[in-house]
Amino acid sequence: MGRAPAFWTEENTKLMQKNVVAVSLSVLEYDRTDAVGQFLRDSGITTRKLEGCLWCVTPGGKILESNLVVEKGKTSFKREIDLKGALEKWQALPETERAPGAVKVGALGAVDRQHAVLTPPPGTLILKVYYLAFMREGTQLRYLTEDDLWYDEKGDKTEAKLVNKRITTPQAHPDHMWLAEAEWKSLMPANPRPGDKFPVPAGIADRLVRRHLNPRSVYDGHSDGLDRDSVRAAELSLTVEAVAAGKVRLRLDGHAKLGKQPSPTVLAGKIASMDQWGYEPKLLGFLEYDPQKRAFTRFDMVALGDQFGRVGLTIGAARPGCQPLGITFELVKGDRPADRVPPGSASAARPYFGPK
Amino acid sequence: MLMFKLKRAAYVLLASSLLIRSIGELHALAPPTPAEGNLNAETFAQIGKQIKPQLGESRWMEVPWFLDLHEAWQKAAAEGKPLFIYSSGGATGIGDC
Repeated sequence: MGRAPAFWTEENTKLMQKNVVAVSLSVLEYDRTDAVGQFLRDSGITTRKLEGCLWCVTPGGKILESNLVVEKGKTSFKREIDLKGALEKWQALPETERAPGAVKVGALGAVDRQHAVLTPPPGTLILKVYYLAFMREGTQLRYLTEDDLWYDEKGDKTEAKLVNKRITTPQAHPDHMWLAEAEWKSLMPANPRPGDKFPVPAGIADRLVRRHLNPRSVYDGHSDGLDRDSVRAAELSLTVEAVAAGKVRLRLDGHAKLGKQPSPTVLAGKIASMDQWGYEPKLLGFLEYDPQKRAFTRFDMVALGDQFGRVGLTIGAARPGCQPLGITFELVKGDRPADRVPPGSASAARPYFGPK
Repeated sequence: MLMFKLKRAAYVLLASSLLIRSIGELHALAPPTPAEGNLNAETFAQIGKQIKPQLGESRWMEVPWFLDLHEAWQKAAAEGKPLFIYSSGGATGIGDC
């Protein structure tokens, strides 16, 4: 429920912005051997089922509210966390627990890198990625709604009842792509001339296609990337479009054929495929490089193509037939913590860089 | 004459603010504008814009999240605020799941 629109009303968002310090964690961090892990354990966040949990807790470690309920040894989730209730409890606390500076936070100690959130290596170029499923209407696209999603081949929506038809799927789904310093530098030819055309370096193309064009990551956490067998075809090239003193402009063109080809019944839009998937995006991108700064100042890419198979973010729904799936990539500075979120489920144990 | 000008300016301001508010609400509430499904240099910007989160679509993204609990904890203690922790099985709760 962490991103459910039912909770993220304008009112709750404003309450959050004004009254709390928000932090997002991985379940792995409960096991950290440093002060972070100790704080979580000492606070009574004792369950390891941190997944999808919301907690409101004082700096002193007192839990005010959570959407996780443990009763008679059984763990269940409430639909929402009572944010107003949490803030009322906070206000009722004595000054010794809530006044600015009243609680002293100790040193972090040696960081437990095995369980801490992965951070981008120095010099990493960060692209913010968004996935969004559309529906086709004639020659145009429209946004997906809950009513478009099928949960079996007959078009039943039984699972929708579980979440009160308030699913997160129609939201743009965020991720990040990292390019190591040596990688992004390899995209720029030494002496660019307008019209020069060359393939995207193999390592970057492979990770872009298998990891970031992976429609499965949008529904079931298969974010480590597709197997090589799932790539039927892929081609990515860069063309130098313009060269000036302060800017070199490159155009990226490409396409990929991933997964299976749709069956005739799926192709005809008569059923939603529950056990097969496929995605055939076209890619287009515009990159700008500043030779003086030796840095990319623009790195915009869009992938758009037909997809079939499950796509629902949390409950694995599918759209009937073949429908468009769009993906954007955009350069970010990385100066906001939210822009430094690791790609997929990357961690020390599940490295992002390197062959898969 | 001055009073007339002031009144007219006030009406213009009021009308403008109502219009701006209406447009703002329209963006937040109305169905999105369809785009051509053919990706090319002409449709690139519009399709990219439509894929990205729309106004009010994912308000959880409007919160300045920390990824470092220790850093957030220090800030919460210094400012006298509670911590709001969102945990997930992914790398964090606010990225890919």
